[in-house]
Amino acid sequence: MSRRSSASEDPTPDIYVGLLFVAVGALLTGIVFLALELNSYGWQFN
Amino acid sequence: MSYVGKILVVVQLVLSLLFMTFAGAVFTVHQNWRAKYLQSENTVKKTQGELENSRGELATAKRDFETNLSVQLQRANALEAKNQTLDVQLAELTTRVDQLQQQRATQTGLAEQKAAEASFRQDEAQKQRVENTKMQARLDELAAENRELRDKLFVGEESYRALNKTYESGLQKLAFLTQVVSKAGLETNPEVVARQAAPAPPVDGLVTKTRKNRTNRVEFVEISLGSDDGLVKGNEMDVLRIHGQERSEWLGRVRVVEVGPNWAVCEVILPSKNGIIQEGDNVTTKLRI
Repeated sequence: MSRRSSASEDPTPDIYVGLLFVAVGALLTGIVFLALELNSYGWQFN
Repeated sequence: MSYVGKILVVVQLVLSLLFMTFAGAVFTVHQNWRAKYLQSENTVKKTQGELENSRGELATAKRDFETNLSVQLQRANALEAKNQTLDVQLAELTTRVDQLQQQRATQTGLAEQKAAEASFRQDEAQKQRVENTKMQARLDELAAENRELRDKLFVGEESYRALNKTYESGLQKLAFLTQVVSKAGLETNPEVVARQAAPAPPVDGLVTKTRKNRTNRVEFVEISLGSDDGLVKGNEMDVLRIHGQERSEWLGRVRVVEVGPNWAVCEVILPSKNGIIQEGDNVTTKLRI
């Protein structure tokens, strides 16, 4: 078995990982906005 | 990472950013329709409550209005009747006012006359005041004189009391002397005494009765003359019997011993021999004058 280098086993984060984190933050922010919106209606859906 | 993975990452990033943007826009820009609904519902409830209250007030006001209307109608009827009465009274009062105006004109004339008279009276009162001042001075003088006269009156009263005592003692003496004179058989009446001293009045009368003594001679006669004719005790009269106009007989002389108003009893003091005195003979005093 070949010895895997630490770079192949633990790749260095690149710009796309950062973009994924940015996407996660945007999703969380949108979720917070929507939760606040639902909270203003008292979490009633009908 | 493959090329597709990279594309998916970018797509996911873009979609995530769009989601965040739309969610933020929704939260930021949207209107809270629930709050507006609740506010509107509260407004509707409040308005309905106010409407119910207004309806109740309207019903109450309507009842009050109807009641007030009926009262006002009754009052209007009463006032109309009263108005008619007042019209009649107004006509009467108008007539009365005319009469009163005429009376006022008359009274004004009278008042003017009275005012002139009052002015005259005032002038006269002023004169009377001057006169009153003089009279007051005169009154003071008379008061002083009155005091002097009162003093004199007091002195006079004292003198009167002393004289009254003297008079009473004199009366007592007079009564005593009168009693003594009466017991002596003398007349005490001064008037009678004076008339006895005076000659008898010239009167003529008739013998109405005769009385004889034991010797059958006439002692007393009653005649038709009395004190009304002026006779008093002691008067002497002559008794005559007249035969026609040519002859008469002298029958004697009598003296009055008792006198009445229209009668007298006489005592025969000087009988005559020409005849006896009888009823119907004449008595007279004229022969002694």
